[in-house]
Amino acid sequence: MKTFFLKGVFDTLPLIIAAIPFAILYGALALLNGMSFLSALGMSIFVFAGASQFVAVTLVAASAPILIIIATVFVMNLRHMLYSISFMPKVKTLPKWQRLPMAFWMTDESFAATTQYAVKESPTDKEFHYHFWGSAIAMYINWVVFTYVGMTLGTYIPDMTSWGLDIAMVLAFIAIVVPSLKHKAHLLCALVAVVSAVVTFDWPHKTGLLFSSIVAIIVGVLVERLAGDTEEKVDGEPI
Amino acid sequence: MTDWLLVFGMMVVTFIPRYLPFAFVDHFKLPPLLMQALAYIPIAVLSAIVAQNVFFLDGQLALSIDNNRILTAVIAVIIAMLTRKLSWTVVGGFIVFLLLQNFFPAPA
Repeated sequence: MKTFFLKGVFDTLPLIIAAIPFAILYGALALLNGMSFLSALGMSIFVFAGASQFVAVTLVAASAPILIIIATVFVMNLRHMLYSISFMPKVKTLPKWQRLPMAFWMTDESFAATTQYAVKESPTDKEFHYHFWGSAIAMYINWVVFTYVGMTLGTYIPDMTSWGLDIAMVLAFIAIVVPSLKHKAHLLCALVAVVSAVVTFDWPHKTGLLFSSIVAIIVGVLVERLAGDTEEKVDGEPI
Repeated sequence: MTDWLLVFGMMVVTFIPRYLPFAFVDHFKLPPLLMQALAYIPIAVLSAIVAQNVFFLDGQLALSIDNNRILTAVIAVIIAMLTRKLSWTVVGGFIVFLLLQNFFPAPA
């Protein structure tokens, strides 16, 4: 099983590298925006949600009430529920106590890496689990370590936060999505998501993100159904 | 103190959506329609996040050639189509972005 753990680490490496500038940026911003050293690091250790932490420290800087920040983070994280739903068939065979860490470590990156691996190589449930552990633990350690690096660097180079380094996350997501666009339905799903996300950008508390995702998923499924038998089952069973 | 309250609150609201589906795994079978929808989840979610991070600067819609994020994203899409490799797309895209930012900084 060690092989599959290591494969998980390896398959996630590009995403881990992309997360480094993002973690550094979060660490620097958290301190600049007035969080204490320990709580800024604690957020990476106990919350472990890149984009949400980012939004949270931005709201801290804007002196938003704590309940508003928490509500915003909740809405942003609803997308992770979609990820966990998609893992459900594989979690059936996972011991109950291990479901807690699997849920805690569910991120865009590890979800994407292990899902791609599952689509490509149809692993057994156990191999799938080990792949995820490798991916998730590597992501976690990387995130915490580089948060710390960012908090240290940020005090010396506060200017860093305006360099736009968070583009790395965008690139990682493009790298995940583009190769997975195999049918017309996939492509339409992506296009609908893009257009809808732009149109709903101003919706309160990032609700446009979740709305756009759900609309795009529905469009994808509808198009696949309408396209009929010819395209069905081409890419096999999802996960 | 308030900082830790924030961390604790965020921990709870982050963990719940991630865990909730796992709590029901043993009690219920996914309907076929939902199974079919699974394949679209990463495409939809990640595309939406990318769009909101590329087409907006400081909370404003920025559909212009001055927005280096758009050109970077377009080049990243092309690299991804040609190589289908995570690593090339991330590293290549990042280099393109740094070059663009250096030579064509956004007008202040």
